[in-house]
Amino acid sequence: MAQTKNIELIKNPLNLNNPITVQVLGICSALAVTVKLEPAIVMAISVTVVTALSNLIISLLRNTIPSRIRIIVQLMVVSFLVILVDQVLKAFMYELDKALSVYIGLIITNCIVMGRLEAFALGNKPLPALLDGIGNGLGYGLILVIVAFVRELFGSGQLMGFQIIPQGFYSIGYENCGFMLNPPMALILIGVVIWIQRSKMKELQEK
Amino acid sequence: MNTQSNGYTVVYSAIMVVVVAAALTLVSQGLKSRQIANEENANRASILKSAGVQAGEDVSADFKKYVTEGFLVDANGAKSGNLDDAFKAASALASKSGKFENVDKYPVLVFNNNGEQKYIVPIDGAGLWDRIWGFVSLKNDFNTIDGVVFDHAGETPGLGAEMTNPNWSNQFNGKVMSEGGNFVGVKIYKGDASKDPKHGIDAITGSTMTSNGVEAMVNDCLKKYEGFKQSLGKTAAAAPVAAVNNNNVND
Repeated sequence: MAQTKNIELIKNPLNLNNPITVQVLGICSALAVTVKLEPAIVMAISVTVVTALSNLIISLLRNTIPSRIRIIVQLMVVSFLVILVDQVLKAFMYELDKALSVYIGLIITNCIVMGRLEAFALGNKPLPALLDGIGNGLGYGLILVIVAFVRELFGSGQLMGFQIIPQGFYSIGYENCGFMLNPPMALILIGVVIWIQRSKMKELQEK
Repeated sequence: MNTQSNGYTVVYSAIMVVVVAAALTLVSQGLKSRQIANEENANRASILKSAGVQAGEDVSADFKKYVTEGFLVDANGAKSGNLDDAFKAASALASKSGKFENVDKYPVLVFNNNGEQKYIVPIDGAGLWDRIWGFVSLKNDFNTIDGVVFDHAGETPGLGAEMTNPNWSNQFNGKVMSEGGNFVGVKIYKGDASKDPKHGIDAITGSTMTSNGVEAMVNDCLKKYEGFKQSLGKTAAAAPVAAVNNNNVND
């Protein structure tokens, strides 16, 4: 029983309760970092690390946190982890850290993180909280990767910086879609993902 | 234990702050040397880029290959120091915390590519929101801009931040600093800059303050090298004058 419940914790945020497409959280960074696949993947991993560890830490501390300052304590744990991620990226992936610029810092204000802490970690044991954090991070990352895949492929003709669309296409008149590189296109793509998801899943359709 | 009491809350937050601060200090100290190395390499790449060379995988090897000499100059053009000093000083100036007002010796890096010589100097100034900085590569005459690389700490994306866009910053290439011994510098124009081909730069639409900041940055910083430029001119002029000394009547 507990086993299936734990699996649900990881699986649900990936589709039925996806933080971006169903809860519509964390849209801002999803628009900004999805021009190319590589930063999107790094962003997805960073957010997953932050949601997972902050969920775990808050869950471990949940019985000791004075309820009057619980938001401040949560914010502190989240900021601590985000600064940690930023420092590690600066040391080991400097170029990507520059590309992601302010958006790493803005993970602190990413609604997914605080939302999961308030809604889940404060009231659950460490293991389920950790899984919930991983699940939500991955759910966020999944949408980021889908959007970045489409945007890089059609916007620059590349994936992970490698040319995918063959040169022959360009010589017979194919052109990269510059619109794909603009933020509005990310919003439209997320809309399309939501549309496909809702039409497939009857549970999500509002009467 | 009563987790709601005031005393507990105060002690809890105090412990929390100390633990988090200590952990972050430890991480920051541990990773510092790597981060500084990364920043220095990024600066080396920018310096090469201003002179039109795209650095490869091994940035410091490329840097060694092209940047052969470096020194510091004071307001009168007197040289001191070596390449290391110049690179360190240039890195410090071309950063968020560097300020030309606070130093009295200005770094010059000498770029050499198969006999083609260029001078690269750092610049820094104030944008609309925060510091702006960059590197300028000057042709052999130390008067004509060969290329620029700009960076900024907090200009508005899509507006002021466009200063880093080569489509805009390439306008600086070929601009002339001094004419007839008088420093003119670059000039930002709203509208048609082509009427002033030697100095005119089209402003960034919607970013008057950042554009003016870039103009002031380039002019103010390059002005500080006027002493060095004159000393360069003297040594260049001295040789032919000595050789044709008997023609001095024309002066």
